[in-house]
Amino acid sequence: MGVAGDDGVSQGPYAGLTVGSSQETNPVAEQTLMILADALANAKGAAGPKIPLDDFGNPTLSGQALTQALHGFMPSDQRIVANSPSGILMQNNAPYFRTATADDGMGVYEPRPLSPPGAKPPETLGAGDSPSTPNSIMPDSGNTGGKALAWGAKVSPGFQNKVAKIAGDLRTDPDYLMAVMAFETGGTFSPSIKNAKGSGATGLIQFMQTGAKPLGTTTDALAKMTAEEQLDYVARYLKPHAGKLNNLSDVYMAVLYPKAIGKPDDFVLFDKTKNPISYGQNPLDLNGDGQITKAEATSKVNAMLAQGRKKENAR
Amino acid sequence: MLDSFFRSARGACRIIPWVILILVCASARAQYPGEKDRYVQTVAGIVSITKSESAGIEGAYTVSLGAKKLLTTGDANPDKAFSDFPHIDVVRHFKRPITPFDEAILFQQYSYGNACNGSSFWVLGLNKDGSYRISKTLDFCGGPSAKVFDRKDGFVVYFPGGPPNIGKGYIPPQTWVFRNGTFVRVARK
Repeated sequence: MGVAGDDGVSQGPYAGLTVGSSQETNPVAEQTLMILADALANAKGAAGPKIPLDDFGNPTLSGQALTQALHGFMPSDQRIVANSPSGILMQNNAPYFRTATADDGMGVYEPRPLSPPGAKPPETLGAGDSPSTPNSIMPDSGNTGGKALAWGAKVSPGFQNKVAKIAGDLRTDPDYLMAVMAFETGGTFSPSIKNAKGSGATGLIQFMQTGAKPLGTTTDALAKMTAEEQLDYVARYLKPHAGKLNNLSDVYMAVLYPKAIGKPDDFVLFDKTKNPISYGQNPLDLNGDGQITKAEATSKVNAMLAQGRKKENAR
Repeated sequence: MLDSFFRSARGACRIIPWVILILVCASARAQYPGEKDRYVQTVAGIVSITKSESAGIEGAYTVSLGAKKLLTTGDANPDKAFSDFPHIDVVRHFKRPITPFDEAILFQQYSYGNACNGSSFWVLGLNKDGSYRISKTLDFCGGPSAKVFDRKDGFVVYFPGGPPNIGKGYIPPQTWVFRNGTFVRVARK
């Protein structure tokens, strides 16, 4: 029982639902899942379990329960990857879900955009679309769910695609990854850029030698890679944090100070009294109170995100 | 029929430990890969650094001398040492007297984050009679990597100093001598 046949027409419990095809990946927003649940629950002729809905037609389940309920519609060897906070796919009203058969970590996914019966095709189709895939949503270059990617104008389409896939696998927003890499590389996205202050930090997320070693590489080897190749190591570095990178500051903390992932914005990273050298090495104490909080540390990356989303930088 | 039942039960007993082992291994998958347990033969016995099964974003590690646990790091428990820089590197094993010890190991903590190019140092002093002592911590956050120099009866740890990793400013160099079991800062003239 497959989700969709090769001709893009759904089968089994998906009968009546038009399924597009795409070779690209996309994160799945929680809101998107709710649309999907709604569509599936109300699909005429659909067999199998129903998603319970409230009086307003919204699923009464949320989070993991909703995901599990949706699994009831799917073949046993496939599952939904959910909880991207971005909600970017909502903009196209084209719910996606991804299927995986084996390695859920960084394996190969086959995303399948799915529209409820009778839904209008998206108004804007990108260059990657063709008449044979009327419901697939492709941006102008790369595939980030139809939304312009922050700092996308600074990188190749291949880089964009890979970032979208990594973000999907990590269940985070690709813009967050781009903003952090923009900050770490000074906006160059150079895989060979070194920290000018002598720490030896290298590349897209300024890998330290100690961070590179467990990934089976070195900062010298990383510096010789293309940006697209180095993204594989960015993905491997961030993989242990999949599902925990729910906002920009948590993505940045994964790169800067992993202990602070999931901590509140006022969490203190460095205290001038307790950790004077660490405090001095990271002069981000904006209010001068002797403590560098998670929010203060992320402030410059926030600015990079805003800048990257400007029309001239996003693509 | 009863025989069949017992055969099935025996089969299950053989499988269950493997299932538990697989589940335990799977639970540790959320951590960074690549760190193996390490062992150092010293005059006081074998010093081991082992990765704990306990969770935490970057894991937890225990330093032991023989069967005795000396120190556990890791962010699973904020009360543990070096909760923010839980990884342990053996910088040097001094197989010679480091006054007042017969041998000493210089350790450095680090995190996979890039806030610091290596963090705090500490020393485990060891004696032939199996006794040991853990030094106070020497705070550090590179910047350029620290350098270690030998001295007749001890060693020197030098922090090169320079601009901070982020932003502007200057961090002056520091020189520390490990003397009589503790780090002593050498005043700059």
